[in-house]
Amino acid sequence: MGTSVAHQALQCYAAISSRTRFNTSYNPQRIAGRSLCLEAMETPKSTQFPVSGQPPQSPTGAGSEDRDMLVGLIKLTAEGDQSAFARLYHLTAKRVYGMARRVLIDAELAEDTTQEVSLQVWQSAAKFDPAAGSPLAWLMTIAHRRAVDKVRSTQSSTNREARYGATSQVIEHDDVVDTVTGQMEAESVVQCLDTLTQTQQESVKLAYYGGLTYREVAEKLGAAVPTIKSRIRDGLLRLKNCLEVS
Amino acid sequence: MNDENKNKQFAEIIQTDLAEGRVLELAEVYALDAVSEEERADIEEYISAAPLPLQRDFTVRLRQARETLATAFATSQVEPPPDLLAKILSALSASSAEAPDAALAAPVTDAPRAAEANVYSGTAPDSDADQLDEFSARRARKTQLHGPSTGRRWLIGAAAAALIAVGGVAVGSTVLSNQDPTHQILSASDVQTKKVDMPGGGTATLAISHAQDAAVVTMNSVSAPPSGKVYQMWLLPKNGTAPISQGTMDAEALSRAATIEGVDAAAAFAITVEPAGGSVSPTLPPVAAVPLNS
Repeated sequence: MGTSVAHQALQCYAAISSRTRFNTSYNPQRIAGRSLCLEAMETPKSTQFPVSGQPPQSPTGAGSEDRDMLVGLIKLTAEGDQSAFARLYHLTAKRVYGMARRVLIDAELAEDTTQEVSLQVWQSAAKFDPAAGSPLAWLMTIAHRRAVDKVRSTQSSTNREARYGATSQVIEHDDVVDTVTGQMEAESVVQCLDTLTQTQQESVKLAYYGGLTYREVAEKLGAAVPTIKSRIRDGLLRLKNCLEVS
Repeated sequence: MNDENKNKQFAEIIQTDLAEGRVLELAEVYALDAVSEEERADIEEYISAAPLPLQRDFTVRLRQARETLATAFATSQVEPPPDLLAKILSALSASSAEAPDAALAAPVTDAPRAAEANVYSGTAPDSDADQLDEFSARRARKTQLHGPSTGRRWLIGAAAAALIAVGGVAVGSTVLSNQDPTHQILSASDVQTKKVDMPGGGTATLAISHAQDAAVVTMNSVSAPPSGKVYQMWLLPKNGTAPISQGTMDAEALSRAATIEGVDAAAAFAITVEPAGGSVSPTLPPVAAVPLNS
């Protein structure tokens, strides 16, 4: 292999690396980028390198190496490996704490919740079954449950409803891009959210971020209880189908 | 989908939904935790007593709902307090009656990864003593990297990375001598750090000082190269000439910091996997690459 090709290929890899975010959970862009650099190498006559072009389409299974890494770390954690647990924390704590802050608002309560989640992860890592769901879904399910338990025990229902009203926000594109580095993937989440009706989005978000029960959501929105249950179900099903969650 | 749903109108209370066979339709509400504790218990009790096919269907739908939520709503990332991991590790040890590994949770946000470098070179924390013995035994072996003399090498990886994390401010002169080139680079006023993920976990961190025309490379929680292979480091010259080897690292060397020189003339730094002893030119693709001077 000629030195110029090796040189160009290394430069391609370096450029790809510099565009990715460090410490993100999903990295479909980097994986796709690497295969592009390989393609460039295999066709040495090509002088076009994707240094500043559009991000490539995420290949199927993008993020699977990160998922495998998380699965591996959870398994090691289940065996009592504190290093693996610490590494797992580094890879996921921002998301867990982010969730807790969003639900609880208060930084100290969010910190307590994050600690509780981490301890639960430590204690229940052996119960994680990769076939039953992704590591992140497992983790965020624990995190959400803990956050909701805490917000319900520390705040009355009326407080929660009022507070959520004051702090609710539309999920902007950037929020999603923070954690979903593949631009295609991020756009598809935002687009899929847009396929929900206003009332579906509202009900789901009130419940999810406000820690409200469907009954409390119904009260807050002045809607019938069965209607709210339907909105939540239909909204999530529509989202699931749009995102092609299998 | 709307036609289907006409037959699946919800009732006022969960118990009625359950009694009328709509437990599947409750999967989303349940996944959202949008039920009271009592309702949650009712649903769980119902499912655990349900026929297996229904249990399976519910489990699938629940899993899908949770994945959907994780993807679409559990996305905010906020940096937690820097000392939180330390608190958690202490609590862990209290719950499992093991001494906490303080090295895992140094006070600076990035330092825990650094501390892991001396603990987690693929082995469990409690084999530190074994690791040290191994290092002493290897003292006589030919070294592949220039650097300070042995014995405290394993500390240097951690301390160097800790220095990187605090932006080059000297932390402990008991560990590094002032003459140490690593120390000089790390305490340079223009030191910048760049990090890159390594496959299989861990990161390679470069602390670069252009004034010194040198950088310190540290590996944090990086897995050993495959048997019979080593990691080799390269600097890619700006003038387009062949990549220049910066030395190799075997599994043992991962816990030491490496010094590389000539960064000012380089366009990029790369790490490849090569046969033991290294190669004359890099075997592509690299496992990691970092642009420099760009």
